Amino acid sequence: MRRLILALLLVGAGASATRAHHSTSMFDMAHPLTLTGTVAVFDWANPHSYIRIDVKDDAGTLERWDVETHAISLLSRKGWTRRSFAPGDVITVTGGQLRDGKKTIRLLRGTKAADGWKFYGDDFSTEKPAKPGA
Amino acid sequence: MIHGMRRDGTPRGLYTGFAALVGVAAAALLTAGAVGAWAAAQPARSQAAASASARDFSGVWMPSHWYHLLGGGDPGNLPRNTLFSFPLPKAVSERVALLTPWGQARLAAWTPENDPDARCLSPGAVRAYQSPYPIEFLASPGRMTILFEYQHLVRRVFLDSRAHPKDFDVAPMGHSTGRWEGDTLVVDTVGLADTTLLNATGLPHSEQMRLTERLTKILGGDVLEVEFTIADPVAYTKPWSATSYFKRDLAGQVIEYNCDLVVDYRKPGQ
Repeated sequence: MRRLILALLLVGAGASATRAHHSTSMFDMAHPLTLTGTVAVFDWANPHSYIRIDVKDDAGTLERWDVETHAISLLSRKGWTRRSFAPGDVITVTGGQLRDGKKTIRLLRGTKAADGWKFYGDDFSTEKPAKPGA
Repeated sequence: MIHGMRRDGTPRGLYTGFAALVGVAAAALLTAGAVGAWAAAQPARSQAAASASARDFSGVWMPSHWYHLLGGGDPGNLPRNTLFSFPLPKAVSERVALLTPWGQARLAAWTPENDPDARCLSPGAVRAYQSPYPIEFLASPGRMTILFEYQHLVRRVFLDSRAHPKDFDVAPMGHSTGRWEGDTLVVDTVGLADTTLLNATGLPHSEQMRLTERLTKILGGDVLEVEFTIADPVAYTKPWSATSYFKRDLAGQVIEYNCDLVVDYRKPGQ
């Protein structure tokens, strides 16, 4: 329980940090979801990039979710490239969902199954510097 | 010269010796005079050199607030933005309290979805400083040019004593003139389009806004302090100020940022 509270506090700190540049108040960052899915499209874009993934719902039906994150230059500094994700990659992502219920989350952090790469969006509290040599 | 005389000057007679003595004395006097003059000039010259250095903003600067995000590591004791320091709501609410009814209506109409930033529209002169992207200064005669990574924006600050144009049409960056007060660059900006906001939570301004910025290198020249004052009688009941800080980053790179690949919030998946 104590660990859960700590996690919520950290998430809260990350969310308030985010509001200062691009407002993410339309996302419920205090109650993040974790999704595992298969990458369909990776939009390497400004002002925000999107990873679009297909996630199986409880009935086993595929649902398309959009995972929003930073602009290209910021992600570049974190070691991302336009080839960081390809269709078919399996990833697990955590982020806050749009308050209006649309299937879009704002990325806090995630992991790529194939190589274990941990990538970060607005989770500034636990983010480590970019991969050496990235 | 004195060293040369001492090294190879072997007097061969009285006259030569006397001449040599006079020469040495004269050289000593001249030297003393020159040293005196040099010493007298030295403070002014080093002052000028120090001033030239203090006024040299050229290079890439990272916003201290986002230093960590920009790969600079822990920002440590770097001073942070006052307006946008955490907790954010209090800093912003102090400015919200100064809004006129016109300003309040503008703020009420703002949503994260209609925010100019979400649509790749220019953030304007003030908000450009608040973003997590580096800026770069280019110095040239009569001019300071500020390049923003964010949306590839440019501000031209004219330092040649010109006045603002009489019928300047409004624009997101407005029209800027600057002058030096000591080693502080004071920039005066008018003609700012009211389509832009002052921060990411919808603080508005009108076209009547006059923006005054005071840019000073502090902490040994490694940190650039940008104090900006907003005087806008249409939107705010009184002028207010805030400060942003930037850390010089000699290895810093400005990465191309364009918004051609716009992805619209309102149409996810397209």
